[in-house]
Amino acid sequence: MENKVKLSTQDGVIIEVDKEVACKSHLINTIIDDTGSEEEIPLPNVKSSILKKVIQYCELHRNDTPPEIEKPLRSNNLSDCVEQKDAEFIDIPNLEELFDIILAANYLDIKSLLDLSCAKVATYIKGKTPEEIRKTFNIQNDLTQEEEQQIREENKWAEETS
Amino acid sequence: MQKQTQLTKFFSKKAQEQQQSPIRTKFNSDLFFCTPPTQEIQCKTENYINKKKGSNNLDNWIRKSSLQQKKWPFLPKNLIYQIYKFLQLRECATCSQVCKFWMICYNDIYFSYSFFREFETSRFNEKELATVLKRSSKQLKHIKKVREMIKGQKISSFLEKTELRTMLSDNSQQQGSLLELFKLEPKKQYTSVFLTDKDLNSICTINNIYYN
Repeated sequence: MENKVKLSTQDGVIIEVDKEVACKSHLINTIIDDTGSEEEIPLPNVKSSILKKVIQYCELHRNDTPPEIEKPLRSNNLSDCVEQKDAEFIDIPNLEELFDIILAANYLDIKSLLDLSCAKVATYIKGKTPEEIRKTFNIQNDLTQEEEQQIREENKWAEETS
Repeated sequence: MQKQTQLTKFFSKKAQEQQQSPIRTKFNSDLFFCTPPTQEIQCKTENYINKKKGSNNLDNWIRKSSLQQKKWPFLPKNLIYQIYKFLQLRECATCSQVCKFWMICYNDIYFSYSFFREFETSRFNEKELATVLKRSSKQLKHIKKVREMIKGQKISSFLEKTELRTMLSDNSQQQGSLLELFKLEPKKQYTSVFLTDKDLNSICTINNIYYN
């Protein structure tokens, strides 16, 4: 029992996890250091489905620390840039879930997962035009024509180098 | 038990604060990802709702359901930075044309110590480096030093011969002091780095230097 921690999620679910796995999160690690692991740790910003995914990632790296991901990414195929198991883990077709993982990794302070999920989003952006990016992420263009023109002028150098 | 109550209170307060924070505010369920709540946006929301009232119900339903399927949660600025870190600077520049919020995020990276905490010249091509030096050197002291070092040389020939890395300590901003690590080395086919005494002095007066 001493090696387990109880995590309570936003939707009221209590998940029991190995302390070693849970401590991959700096936030949880700090809480355990301060208050011990006997009590339930409330995680009001994380849904149970996302927490399960986060725990799955921590389990994957129970015995190792993932290497730093190269910046900038050299390819928009993440398998070229990270370990195969990480690439498979983060291959999530649902973008909303991917964003929730980013928010959870940031909140739980798990740097390697934050990097991995942000790198995944970056692969959706890499090599695309602004219009394609808007379509991918369903973003509304709220720039006025003048603003767009001004940005294009400022970024001429970028178009020349691409 | 008392500890748990305190913890629960702390976290529920934190969650409440985050929900109240303007950055995290979520709009009407029909609106999309990522724009902070300005008056202008609120007007747009109202116009959008008014427009919707006038159109066909079936169209509305189809539109609404397809939008809801694709709807994204909001990502705060610091996390957009994290994504930009994995892109080349010219790709970040492309992102600035996506929407106002992404444009703001892009413009802000040039003033961000956290974005340029690890600065490697090898990450950039000539034009990218020129842009960073021009836009960031007024705000970021370590970039200013890099600019001073390159001054008087062509950026292309500097990049061809030299690799320069600077790194700031994690908590330099909070501490109010800048601890910088500079690493300069010649590229493989070259044997030395062009660096004047003045350059060296400007780095060494307050910083640590690791010079190969």
